[in-house]
Amino acid sequence: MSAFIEGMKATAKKCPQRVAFPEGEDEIIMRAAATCAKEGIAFPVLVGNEAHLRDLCVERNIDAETFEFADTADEAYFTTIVERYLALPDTILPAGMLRASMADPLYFAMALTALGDTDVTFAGITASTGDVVMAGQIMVGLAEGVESPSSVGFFDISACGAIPADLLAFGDSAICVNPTAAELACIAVSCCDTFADMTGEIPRCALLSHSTDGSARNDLAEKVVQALACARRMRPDLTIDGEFQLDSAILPQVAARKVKRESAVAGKANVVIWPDLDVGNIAVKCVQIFGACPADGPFLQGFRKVVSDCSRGASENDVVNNVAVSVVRAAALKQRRR
Amino acid sequence: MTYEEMEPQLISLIAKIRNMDASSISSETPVSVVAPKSLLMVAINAQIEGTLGIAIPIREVMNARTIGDVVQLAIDHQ
Repeated sequence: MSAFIEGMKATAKKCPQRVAFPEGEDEIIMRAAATCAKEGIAFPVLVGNEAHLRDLCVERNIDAETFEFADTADEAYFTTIVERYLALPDTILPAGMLRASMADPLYFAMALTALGDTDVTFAGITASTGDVVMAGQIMVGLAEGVESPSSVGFFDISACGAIPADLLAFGDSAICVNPTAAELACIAVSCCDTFADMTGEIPRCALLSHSTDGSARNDLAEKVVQALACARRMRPDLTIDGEFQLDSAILPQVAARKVKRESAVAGKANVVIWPDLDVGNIAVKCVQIFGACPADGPFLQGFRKVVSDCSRGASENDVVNNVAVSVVRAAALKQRRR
Repeated sequence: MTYEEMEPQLISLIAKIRNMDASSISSETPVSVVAPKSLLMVAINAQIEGTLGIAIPIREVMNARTIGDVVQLAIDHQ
């Protein structure tokens, strides 16, 4: 387990949050949820047919009292949640479609999180990332100013020695295929907020390119230049700069040569933003394979509340770790919005 | 409603929403042609309820590959 995840678990235990699990029928999810409760990481809420879930607890020798249940088979409770969700000011979908959709535990769980009855919706072991993202986008909604969901990951670079830092956050390596300048700005803003929520540190965010400060002039570099302007307009409170090549962003000696102006980010970025998914996906694999640096994530971001996705091949341990990260983020989000 | 009754109604509704020529849409038309972005399909689904009174769960309509699949879903949920 990386030091980063160990830290997340320790922090989560100080501020456990209510986590909705719409896939509690899956044994890995059920066992991971039980572990989260036992270790004080989260308060798990299993969403679905309570009687069936309790039967599964007996079969699996798991204490059902470990969990709270959001029983979608309880018609009165189900109707109450639908009506409360319909009463939300931003709900624009028609009642019939919502009611039909919320019969699916994934959508019901998202509604609980949108209502504040839970703080996180955690899914992905049976649902695809696309399903989770779509349900999150429709039911929970996106954070103010954010145009699309994205993801953030973390390299544990403590052992690599290239720069005096333990963590480097990166986005987006999983969701946005070919972001426009505006979408790239949203990715940067979301990554900064998630980084701050997870680490408590001030993000210094570099928008990456094959160009540093106009060293190349073409459409690819121009997209990043426009993204920078957009991000600064969106969130002037954040420290975001570019466009930088990776070495200009994270190596002080290279930044000193290539960046001929004041920059709070050049040479000391702790968050880097890839210009597109090809770059992001390949870069992460290069770091993992050739740099032997572990990477944690990707973690979904950009929603109004925390929506988390796990790999369909996730182990119980993977799920527990991911839930811990989600809990830390949810607690920080509440703090940020006070 | 039968498939033969539902299909033209649904195609007409989709064509109106998307400002397309209804004769360019058939049961074989991929959903991605009428709804290049997924959220457009959600909007179409909302209109199906508003106009035809049929509520199709979002996740099911998102898995539809063709307009014919959407027609079948509307029949299944009427």
